[in-house]
Amino acid sequence: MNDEAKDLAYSIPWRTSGIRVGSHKSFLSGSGGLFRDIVPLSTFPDPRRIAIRASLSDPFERLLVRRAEQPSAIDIAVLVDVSASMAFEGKCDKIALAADIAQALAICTERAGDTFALYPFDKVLRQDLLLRKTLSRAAHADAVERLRQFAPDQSGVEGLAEAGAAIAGSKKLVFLISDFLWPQEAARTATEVLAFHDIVPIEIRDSLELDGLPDWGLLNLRDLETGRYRLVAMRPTLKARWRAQRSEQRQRITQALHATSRETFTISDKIDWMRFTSFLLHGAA
Amino acid sequence: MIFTNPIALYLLPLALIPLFLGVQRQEPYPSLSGLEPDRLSLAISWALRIAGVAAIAGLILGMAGVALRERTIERFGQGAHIVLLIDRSASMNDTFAGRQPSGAEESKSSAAKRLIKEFVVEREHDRFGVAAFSTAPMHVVPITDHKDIVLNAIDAIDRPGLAFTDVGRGLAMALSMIEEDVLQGSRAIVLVSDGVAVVGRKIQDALRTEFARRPVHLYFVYLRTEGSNSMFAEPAPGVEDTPQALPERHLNKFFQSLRIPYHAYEAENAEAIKSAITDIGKLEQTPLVYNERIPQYDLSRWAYVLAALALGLLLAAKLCERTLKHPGAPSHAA
Repeated sequence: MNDEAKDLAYSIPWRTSGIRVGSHKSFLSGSGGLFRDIVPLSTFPDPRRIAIRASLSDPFERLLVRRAEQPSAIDIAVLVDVSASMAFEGKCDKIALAADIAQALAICTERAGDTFALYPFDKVLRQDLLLRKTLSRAAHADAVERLRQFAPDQSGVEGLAEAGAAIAGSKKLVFLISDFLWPQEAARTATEVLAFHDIVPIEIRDSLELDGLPDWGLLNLRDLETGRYRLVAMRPTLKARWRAQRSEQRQRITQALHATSRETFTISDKIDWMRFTSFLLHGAA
Repeated sequence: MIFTNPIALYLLPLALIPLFLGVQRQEPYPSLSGLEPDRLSLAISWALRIAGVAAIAGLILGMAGVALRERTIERFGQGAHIVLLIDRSASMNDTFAGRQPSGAEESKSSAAKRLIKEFVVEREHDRFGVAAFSTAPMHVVPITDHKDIVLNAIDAIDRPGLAFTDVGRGLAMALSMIEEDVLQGSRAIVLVSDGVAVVGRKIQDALRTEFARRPVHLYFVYLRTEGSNSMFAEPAPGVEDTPQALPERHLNKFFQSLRIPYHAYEAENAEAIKSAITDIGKLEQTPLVYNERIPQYDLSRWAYVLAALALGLLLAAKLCERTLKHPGAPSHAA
């Protein structure tokens, strides 16, 4: 966690219907801030904001009032995949990276006045790591710290459906942090249960998984998800084949995800915070 | 298959361990789903497992001392079961000239010994028994295919012998030896003698019955001392033609009267013995079933060789092993 991370910011391309005052565009209108429209005094009974010029030129001789945008707070939910495959430590520690992102987002929500919720999931929704939406900074820090200390042990991502049920309700900004080494059905479930929300998939990749493999030699790989072993005689042709198969798998997953989500942000080994912020603000890195 | 130390076999289930536990160091990998197994890797993985099994099994079998059991197999050859009936009377130690051997001279028994030994060595498929006789018959070696024993027995026949020559009881013993031998094949008695005494009437009758009961080839090699009577010669006029006066002639006549295949050879020197023996060898060429013994064969060295090869393969695999971690790989920098 460095200082750059604290400068993380996000924006939403939609209006929230949240009623708590915050910093995001909403359907609410208030008396301060950006001008929105002019309505009759009867609609918005705030005589301090009477628009004199508009009232004088109104053909129906009504008394008109200026109305301004009322920024609202939104709910942020961070869904972290803590299944066994996230335990892989190659050139990076995936769980630590996920905790970094969660921490940066927590700081960001605190600054913007949004609520922060953390829903780690594997086969089930992890009740021991879970943080329901709250404004408490201490609770945020505590939950992030627990996530950082966690060593994944369960396989599967079926808990995502539970997490989806837990955050159902008003539209939220949902960060889905995972390595996305999922079966295609899991990705489809994710899009279905989260369809109502603004989903930001964040993929954490370790370059050692594929590019870092040796060109020649025997590798006894233990699949962290299934616990199975496979002896692999690695050679350049096989490596190329694996790369092709992996990219095909990724393509299928992202295709399924992109049905409802934003574009996937991919992190390889190391988080480029500036790029991440730019992605969150403008939708493109 | 036998084991010299079978208690080690209790360890044999250990050989199954490589089927369940890999010998390679495990590398955690996020997910192999979507990465199809390739054939070469599968083949190598199974080869290494089998090598592990072979290594442990080989070592354990080596410890258990695995060996092939001693076997006998039936073979077919040509030859006969021959009983060598050798005269051990004192006169056999003389030369053919009837003197004590001196210098380069060879006694009758040692010439016979040398030539018979050659005969025994040449006839690979024959089985031999040895009996000797002088005053009484001596059972030396039963009919056997152990050539070494037979050769050693023949070696012993030029020990100084006793006085008399009881050929009748010698023959009876040779026949009883033939009777003890149960294997199939042609049977022969080779009687080597240098002069015989009278065979009693009773013993003659007994022998006649015995010979009638079983078909035996009889070869009589008569080592004739210079000046003694020939067994084929007609007695000179004026000499009594009685068994007491001409025992060899009458023995020959007795054998001829037995109605069995009979050949008599009269040998005055070593060459004559040799030609007689060669002749016997030519005649005894009937088909023969004989058993060949194949000794116990120690397989444990091959078990160790197998284990060594398997261990070599495993070592090669170990040396080919790679790790995912680079030395000093930095943990995440965030």
